[in-house]
Amino acid sequence: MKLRRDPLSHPWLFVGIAALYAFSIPWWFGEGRPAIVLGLPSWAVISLACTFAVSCLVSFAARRLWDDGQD
Amino acid sequence: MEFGPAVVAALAAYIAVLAFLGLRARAARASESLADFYLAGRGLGGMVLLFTLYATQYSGNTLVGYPGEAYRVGFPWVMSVGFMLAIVVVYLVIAPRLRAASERHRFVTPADWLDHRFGHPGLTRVTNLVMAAAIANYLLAQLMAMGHVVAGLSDGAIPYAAGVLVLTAAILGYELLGGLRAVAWTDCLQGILLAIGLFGLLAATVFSGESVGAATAWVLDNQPAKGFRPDATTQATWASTLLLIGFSGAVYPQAIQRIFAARSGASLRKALSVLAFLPFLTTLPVFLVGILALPRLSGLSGVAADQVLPALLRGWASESEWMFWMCIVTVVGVVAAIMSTADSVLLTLSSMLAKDFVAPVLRRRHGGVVEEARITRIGKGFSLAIMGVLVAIALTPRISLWGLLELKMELLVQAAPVFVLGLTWPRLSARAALAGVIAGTLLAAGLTLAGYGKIGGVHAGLLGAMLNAGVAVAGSLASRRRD
Repeated sequence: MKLRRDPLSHPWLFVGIAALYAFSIPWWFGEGRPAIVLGLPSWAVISLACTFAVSCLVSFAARRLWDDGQD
Repeated sequence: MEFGPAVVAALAAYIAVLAFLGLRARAARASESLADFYLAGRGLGGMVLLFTLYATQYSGNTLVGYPGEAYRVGFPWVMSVGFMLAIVVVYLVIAPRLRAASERHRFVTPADWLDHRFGHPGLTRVTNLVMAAAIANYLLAQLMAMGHVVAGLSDGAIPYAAGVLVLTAAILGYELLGGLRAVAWTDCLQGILLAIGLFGLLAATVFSGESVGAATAWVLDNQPAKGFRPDATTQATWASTLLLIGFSGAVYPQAIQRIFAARSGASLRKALSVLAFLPFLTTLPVFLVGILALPRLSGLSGVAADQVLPALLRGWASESEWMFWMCIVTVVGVVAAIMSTADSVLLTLSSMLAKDFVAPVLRRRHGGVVEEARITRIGKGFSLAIMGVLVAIALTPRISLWGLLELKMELLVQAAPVFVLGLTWPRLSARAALAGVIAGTLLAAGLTLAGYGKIGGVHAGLLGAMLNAGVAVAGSLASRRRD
């Protein structure tokens, strides 16, 4: 069996994942008391949103960017 | 009915179903070959594969250790959702090529790929030793979690030692009967119970009238360090944990064996595409449980923080009959999560010891031929011996569950550069990779033993892995130049 498509041949995918992970860590968030959004501190909600975007990218890549000729 | 006896009855019924599945798996075996026992005849379809990857990846540490960690650390522990996902990200890097090679060369253990890629017995042996030591530690963490959880959740009706012994015997029973087939089938049951248990946790949270928003406001008012933006050191630890867990979790030998055991590439792709969302259905609710515990419980630290979940469940169970039964289901789900990880690790560890360490010695003695059925029998003997030793250690717990997990990851991540670079960079040489593993392991273990588990927030294991990868790349480039 030979790989026809491999997620590794799409560097943009991993650049996107790395950028989302970098923003999931709240280094960019200001000091002081955060607002409460959806029951959580706002920085934690943004962190979760970035992580969810990574989940979507990974799921897309597993289904569409990986082809070994088997259905 | 009281909570403790109800937990005992529910666990007894659960163990009876596990025994039934073990017997069915034994009846379904096609032969005594290694591939049949350790890889379920390479026939795991999409759904079973998803459940077995899920149940293997999410463990006692996730359900018992993580609420305690969220309780200790506060909101920065939201990182746990990201680091469980990071494992699937690294799968995207290694799984396609590993799967393609395993279809051609019929690998059984990770060492088979190492032999195929590098043909260097020293590298195979050292990498295998590092992985075996790490997952033996991991298995020990699961056994301890079983004891803590049943003792805490049964209100002491099942003492810690009895919990460890009875559940260990149950795992050995179905695993020795049916190998990976039994493990994967019980993983399906355990995955379903885990999902129901998590649903139970969420339902218990909602019906108990506790609000995450109110808990957050309490944390911001009373323990601001746990709710405000984390400091620079915690941010460094966050980034370090993402990399440490992502790379080490993806090279769990039991996870690699599931890549080999998939029925097809398509079933593996489908399983991973769903697995990418499961941190939001597993780690996130568990994190919220730890946050809810902050205003409710106080004064817990160290080992006691691992009792956060049991303490909350006991409190919720006393509130209404509906909550009582939801909490019972959650308890069985938690025990199922721990057992499903322990059984997978045990099976993989015994396959590595029997096939990678003992079989080559037997082949040398017997002129190159050893029956696979004999190696399988030796593996079963190792399963019994491993559990005997680890149970003895588990009966004297000293450190918290998360501490154990970190020690395991520090070692396991040293195998990651060999797999990741070996699969993606053709120029990686065996000698440079071996030098990297040795250097990285010595640095990680040395720093950890010297009391420097983290430097500037970065884990000793990750520092070791960076040295490991650096030595491997520099050594490969240098040897190329010499040639």
